[in-house]
Amino acid sequence: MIFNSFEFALFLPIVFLLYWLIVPKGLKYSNLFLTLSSYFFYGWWDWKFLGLILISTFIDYYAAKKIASSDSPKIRKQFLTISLVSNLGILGFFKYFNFFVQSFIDSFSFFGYHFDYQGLSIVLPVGISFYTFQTLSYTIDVYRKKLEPAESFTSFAAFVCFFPQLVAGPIERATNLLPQFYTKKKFNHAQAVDGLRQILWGFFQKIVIADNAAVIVNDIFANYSSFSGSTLLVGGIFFAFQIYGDFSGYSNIAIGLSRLFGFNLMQNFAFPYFSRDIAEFWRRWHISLSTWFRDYLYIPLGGSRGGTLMKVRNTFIIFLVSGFWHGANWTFVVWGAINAFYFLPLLLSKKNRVHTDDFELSGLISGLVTSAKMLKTFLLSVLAWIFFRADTVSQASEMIGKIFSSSLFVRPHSNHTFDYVMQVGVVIVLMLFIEWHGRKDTFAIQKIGLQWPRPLRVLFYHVIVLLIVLFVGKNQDFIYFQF
Amino acid sequence: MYIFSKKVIFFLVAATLVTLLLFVLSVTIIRVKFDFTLNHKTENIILGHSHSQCAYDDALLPGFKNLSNGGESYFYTYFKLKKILEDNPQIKNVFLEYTNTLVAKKQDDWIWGFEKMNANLAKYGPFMEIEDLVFLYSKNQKDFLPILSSVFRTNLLRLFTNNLKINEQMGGYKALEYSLANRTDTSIKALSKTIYNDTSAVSLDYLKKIVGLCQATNVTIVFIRSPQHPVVNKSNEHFILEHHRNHFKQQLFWDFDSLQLQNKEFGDLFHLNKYGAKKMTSVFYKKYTSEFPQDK
Repeated sequence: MIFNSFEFALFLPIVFLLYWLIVPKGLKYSNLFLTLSSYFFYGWWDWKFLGLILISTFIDYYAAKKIASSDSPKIRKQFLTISLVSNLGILGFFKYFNFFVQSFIDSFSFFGYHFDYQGLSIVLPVGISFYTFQTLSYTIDVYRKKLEPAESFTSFAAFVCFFPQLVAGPIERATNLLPQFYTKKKFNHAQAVDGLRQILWGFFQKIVIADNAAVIVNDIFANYSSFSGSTLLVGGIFFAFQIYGDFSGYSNIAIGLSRLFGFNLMQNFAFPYFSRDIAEFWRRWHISLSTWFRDYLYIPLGGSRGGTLMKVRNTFIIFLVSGFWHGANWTFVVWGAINAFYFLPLLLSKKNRVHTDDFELSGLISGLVTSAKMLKTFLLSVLAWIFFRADTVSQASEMIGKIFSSSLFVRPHSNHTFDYVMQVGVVIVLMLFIEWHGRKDTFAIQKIGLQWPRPLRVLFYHVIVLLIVLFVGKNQDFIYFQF
Repeated sequence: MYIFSKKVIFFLVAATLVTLLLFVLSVTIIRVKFDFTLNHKTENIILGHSHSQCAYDDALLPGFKNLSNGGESYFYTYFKLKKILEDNPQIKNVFLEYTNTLVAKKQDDWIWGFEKMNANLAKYGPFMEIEDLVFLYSKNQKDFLPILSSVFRTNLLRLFTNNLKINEQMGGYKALEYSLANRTDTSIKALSKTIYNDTSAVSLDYLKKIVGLCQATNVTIVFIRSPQHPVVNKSNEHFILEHHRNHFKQQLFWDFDSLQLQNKEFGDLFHLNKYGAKKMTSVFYKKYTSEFPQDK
């Protein structure tokens, strides 16, 4: 079931009302209800893959219990290994099996040996990368003695499959989300209204921005060879907003939904396109994944301590793994490598934490300098996104080559009408304008209008709804579902 | 929670009502205000899809307006023609492309497929009746609502920009610059494929409606067939000729399909380029002046 579907529009109010009716009966019942509702939500896509979630839930629940109850380092390590191997094994098989086999065969072909391999027909279960990482954080934290094992199976099962963030995150840490299943919820009107505002903004980002930008992007990337460098650059820019609207929109809907049920999830995007350098961009983009890799991979590897060589090694490892996490394709690996190249000079010159303050554009000169830094960071990310979106590395390289050719100065054109492209451009600018206004909050419209007279505030929300209605296009899946 | 639920329901109901009200209002204003008036000297119009759009250069045809539009089926042409005839009583003759692709089954996709329905409902949706919209909905429920949203957006933009006159998006001559001149006969043959196998009942139905509309308003309708490259495999050729004999025997049918043209006069297998259009227009005008000397 996806958030922007008719089924979900029926599912949500029913589950919401029943949940708050069940809450007074006790935690056990409310957690059980959330678990079953989440299974229904997930099973609507394909019930057969519920088995994988159940396997992951059982293994991690019992592995963590064993880790916590034992003082023997050997036993503790054994159960951690069981959890790691089983979770990463499932993920590896479903996501990477064909890729590795094909890459293996390709490398043999390079030496003149040819194999005929058709590949297994493996369907990638939706959200597998997200819930696998979430459960891994649980067993690792229990192993590190940062977290007690789950109090009950139902609370743990609810934590693993909590439907708002099950299929595309935010990838919650057990230390933040799991304890929330231990406390009895009380309906909080202000929190729920705030959640609705965030959902509304999430739908705006997804339906108005991402789905409409996708129409233009799909056409440009599918016919890239017939377009000029300028059009390809426009395609890259629109894709940057598509993926942001899509994923940030999903995260906002997920966080907002959680608030309706009395849960608080972590912020996943903090206005990344206003970043002044790539290091800041990565502190603001897909925060739950970046911090996951930081805590469970980068720091255990030594982080930025040690010599230059170690810093370079660790940076490349984290960016390449992060790229590879997105999918079994070399395009993602190259995307990760490009970002590592962007990031390394800042790290080595110790300038990676220069921009940790809020965005400001005060004063003419400093405002212009800051704007130029933002634009530079954005354009660098656009070039990297081209690899992320392209089907092959050679396609992306060809596109980049065209962008850096004289055809960059040709007037852009596409198969869509100029009016349509302009309309999408205008709503993107509108989104940026609103996000700039709300940049100090956790989502753009969190506080916008709160000080206004009530009729004006209501009108503002009605305008957003109207824009959503006006821009409902052909339903596009959330991009991150495929990861 | 009761207050919260009440507020949410109230907001949703209000949002729905405001949206519906705006939608109905925009459609009503467009129905009343949209102007299909052509130049008062235009007494002949050419309608059809891309074949006729690329074949007749109306700058060379005095008293003519080529309003053909690429990918337009008879279904949408009917609504366009209806409004044009209402607003242009001076029109005497309608020349309508009557060719293999326009009656092919694949034409159905041009009626209710996402792309064409999206483009054409935005233009002609406000002038359709409820039953026509219900018909489209019954054929493609999945895409209909998103398309209505696009129609709504177009309507509001038209109103805000005061763009309430017939425009080039509704049709007009299109000069193709490219040609088949550099291709060998073998490579041209390789381009050809049989794409017409069955006929579209809906298209034929709306063709009859178009003819009926012209008859009811005392406008002469002439079927025309623009030339296609000889290698095109028109597997429903027998049908189109038979269909004409059986249903539209009394209608004039000017068949230019066999007009001798060179590769350099074709843009591709189905469309004339600007050189072919010049030749075709001249042949057409000669035919017109000989058949309709009184209208010249």
